[in-house]
Amino acid sequence: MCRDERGQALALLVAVLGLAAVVVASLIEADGRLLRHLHATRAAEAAAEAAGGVAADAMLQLRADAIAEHRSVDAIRGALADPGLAVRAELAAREVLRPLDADLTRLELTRRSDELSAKVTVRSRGADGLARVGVRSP
Amino acid sequence: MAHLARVERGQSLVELALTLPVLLALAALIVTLSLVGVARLATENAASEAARTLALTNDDARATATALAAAAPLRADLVDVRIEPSARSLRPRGSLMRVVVGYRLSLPLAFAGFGDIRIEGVGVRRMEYLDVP
Repeated sequence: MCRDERGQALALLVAVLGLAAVVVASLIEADGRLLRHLHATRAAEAAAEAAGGVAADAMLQLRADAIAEHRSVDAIRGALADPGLAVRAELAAREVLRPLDADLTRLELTRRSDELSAKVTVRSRGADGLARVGVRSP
Repeated sequence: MAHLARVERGQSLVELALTLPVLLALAALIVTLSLVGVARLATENAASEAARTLALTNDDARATATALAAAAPLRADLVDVRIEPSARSLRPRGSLMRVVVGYRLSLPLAFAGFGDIRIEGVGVRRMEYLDVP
């Protein structure tokens, strides 16, 4: 009877070691996944804000020109009509993403009621990030 | 038979003595991994929030306060914040700046010779602040 119980603790140790290996691997995987997702989302936010900043500058310039010429202007429509805006916004977004180790997947500049929307999708370290900022007309 | 039982007496104690250190080391490893994971998420989040504050205000003190607040549940006295470029005048609207939030994590494996480790989160933003005189 006693002889049968020999090595019980060692068998238990092997079982616990296996379980611990699974726990450690799961922890590392979950931590990595969370961090990659957070990083991609934060990078997308930074890129969307950069693109939104460029759009805001463009709308301010349109508004300033309109005031100087004593005319009214729809700054959002005017900004979106400028083909150079998308290029400048994309450049700004890519510039922010470079030090964050992320790539721009997609940038959309659209009108959403009374604001210009900059929606950005990025890919970073195997995860996708999505963010949108709205820029109100000045 | 009585002799055999006496010989086996204490075997469990020996096995426990052999396995307990391994089990304790595993528990310490799991706790360490969890602490590192929390610290990485917190510093990444704090750096991004601080960068956003700095982009809007160009105020180092505000950005640092934001980082410390956003780094919770990390101990604020072990958190450090570095802003690049360091001078306000070098961060005009449209330029890029970087906020690095560092944290000195004390490992529960210090008894095994593993000292503190440093964990960093990085936030980058395009400056939005416009200094209007």
